[in-house]
Amino acid sequence: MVLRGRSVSGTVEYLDSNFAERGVSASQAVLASLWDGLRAEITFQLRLYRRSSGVFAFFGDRLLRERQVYQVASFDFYENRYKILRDNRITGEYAAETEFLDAFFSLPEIDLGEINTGDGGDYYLLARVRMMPVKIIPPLNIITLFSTDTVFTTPWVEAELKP
Amino acid sequence: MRAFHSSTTSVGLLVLVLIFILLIALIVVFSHQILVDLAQVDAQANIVAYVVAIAFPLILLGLIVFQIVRLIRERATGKPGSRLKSRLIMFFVLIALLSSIPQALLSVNFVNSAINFWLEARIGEALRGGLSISLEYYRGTVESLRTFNSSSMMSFILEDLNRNPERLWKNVRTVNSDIQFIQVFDADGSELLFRGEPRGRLRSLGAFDGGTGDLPKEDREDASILRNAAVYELDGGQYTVVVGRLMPEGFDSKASSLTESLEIFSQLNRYKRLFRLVLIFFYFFFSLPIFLLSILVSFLLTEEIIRPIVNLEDATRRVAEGDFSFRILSRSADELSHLVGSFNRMVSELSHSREKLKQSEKISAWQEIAQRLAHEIKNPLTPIKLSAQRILKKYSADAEAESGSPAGGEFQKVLQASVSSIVREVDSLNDLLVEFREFARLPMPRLQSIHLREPVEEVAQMYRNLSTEVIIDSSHISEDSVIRADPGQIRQVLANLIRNAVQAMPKGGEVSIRSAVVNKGDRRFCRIWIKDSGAGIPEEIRGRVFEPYFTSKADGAGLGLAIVERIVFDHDGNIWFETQEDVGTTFIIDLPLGFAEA
Repeated sequence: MVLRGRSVSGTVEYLDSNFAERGVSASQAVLASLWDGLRAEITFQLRLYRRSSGVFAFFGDRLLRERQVYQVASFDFYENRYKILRDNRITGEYAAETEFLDAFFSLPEIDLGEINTGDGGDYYLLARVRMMPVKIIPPLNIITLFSTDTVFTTPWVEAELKP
Repeated sequence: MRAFHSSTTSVGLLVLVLIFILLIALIVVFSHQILVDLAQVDAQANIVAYVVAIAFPLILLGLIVFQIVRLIRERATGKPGSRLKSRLIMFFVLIALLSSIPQALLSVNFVNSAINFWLEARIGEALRGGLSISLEYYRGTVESLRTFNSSSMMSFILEDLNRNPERLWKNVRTVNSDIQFIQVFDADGSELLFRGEPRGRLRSLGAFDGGTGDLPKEDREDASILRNAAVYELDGGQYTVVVGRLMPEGFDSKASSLTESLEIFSQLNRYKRLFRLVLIFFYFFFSLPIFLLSILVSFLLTEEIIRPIVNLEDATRRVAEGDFSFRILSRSADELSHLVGSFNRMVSELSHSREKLKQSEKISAWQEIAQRLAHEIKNPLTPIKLSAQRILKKYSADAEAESGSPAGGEFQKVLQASVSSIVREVDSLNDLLVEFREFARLPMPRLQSIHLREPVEEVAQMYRNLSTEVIIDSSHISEDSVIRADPGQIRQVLANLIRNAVQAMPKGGEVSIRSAVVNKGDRRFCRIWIKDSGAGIPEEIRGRVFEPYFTSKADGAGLGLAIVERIVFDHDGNIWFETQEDVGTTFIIDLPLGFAEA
């Protein structure tokens, strides 16, 4: 997380090891899904907090901003290319798997708005990633409520604000 | 009058139906929400969905358990209707189960069949085959462009670039008819030649300047374009040759549709076991609240159905215990309401008959007393009167014989006054006994159909002659007031009531007599109002007005209204009064209607 002037921005990267703890490789799961004609989806969720102190600490830290970014990956069999869509717009096309995977599992720097830097506040960012090797379209997506093998969500990771 | 409410009202049922529809709508909306939205991303929204989804059936289940416990308690305490209620609820639940089980089996079977049909292997093979064919076509086209553009033949064809461009294009088409356009750029990227399909024309080489190979497919609204670029050295110059073709119209959309179909198929196929279980789970998940709701509604409906029956049973028990004051109120118009109406009429008639019987017994008792009094007192009265007259006569004769002149002493004066008093009181007692005898010998009425106007006018005229201070208005007797009555007894009733009214207004006033036909249940009566503008009946004596030998007058025997009541009862009628002090009294009589003469 970076502070430039009063603007806050953050980057998030999903490490394959988070997924590997389950005994499978996230990269391989995503590629297998794409090669099978399916799509994969990754959601980056970021929350910017201001720490509360004194009696207000009882009520918890204050949520200043929240952003969610969805990235959907697919494989174009005609072009033999991997494509990444964000907000239904193609943001990248890749012929090489490694380039595609790097782009898919990471979120480029994203603007989180401005904060009042002069107030001496203590800010931090929470981020987590929700990964679906197979993006399941509605109404089939109801099965995600019942299966732990369809959606992989990381715990919240905290990052301090660095000017 | 105490009353039960028997309300299987349409409003109540409407409310129940509305609640049912509302809850069904909620379930439908909720299911839609779950199916489409909630499952997508937001875990917190999912938690809300879980809570609502679990809470709703639990609330319904809780309400049903509460109702069951209440029913068990009602049965244990022997509350009327609890057994019938249990049976009805079991009946409703049985019906709900009988309709739900086959429906559930059919639905599960349908889901299984549908999933098996969708995921039939040949459908997957067909989809993959379709994709494979389209890919082969696509790749074949790309390969064709690539092969042609990299072939040695192109060097010879390009020799016509400056000499004869038309021949160049003709040769290209001759060698490879798939190529729909050719574009040649010089080393600076300036276009030297373009022939063929205008849509394939590049404005500039751009990023591909100097490159060799397949250009990215250009997706346009009306077509998608495949291109291949190659660099040739010719006459010391360097040229970039782009050849290409447009894909058939609709190729992209069909290819996209094929890809999406394959995606859906692959998803279904990958998770088919889970998907089948989830569908079945959701079927029961959404059916269960509706089933529970049906049971809950059956509790409420049963309550509504048995309420009039329970009320009827309770009212019957109270009537059997002698309480005739109960009536059941019903606002519905069904068979139960008719039953309630019949019951109310029956109780009313029973009460009326009971009152008449009591009154009749009372009157009979008084008649017997009157008979005995008349008999016992009448006999000694004549000797008393004769003896007193004889004493006076004998004393007067003896005194006159002794003195030779008519008796005129002090004693004689006292004696004369005393004897006169005895004779007067004996005469008064005699009159009283005549009334007693009349009351005691009141005969059964000889009924015939008469118009009320005749006796009313006759009696009213008689009292108009007797009293000039009182106005008697009898002009409001309705034309249809034909009664079935004994004319003599009805005259007696009217005479008694009009006399009382006249006497209630010593300083003058108005007596108004009017009539109308009224319906009481399924019977029709002629209602007669006799209204005076007197002082009204004091509250403390209102309850004793019809009692025999009760009078507020100095010279009355107290039999007038008793006789009136007796006659009205004997005519199967009814009499009561409304009074207000300093305003007046109205006696109201209902007499059965007679048959008007044609």
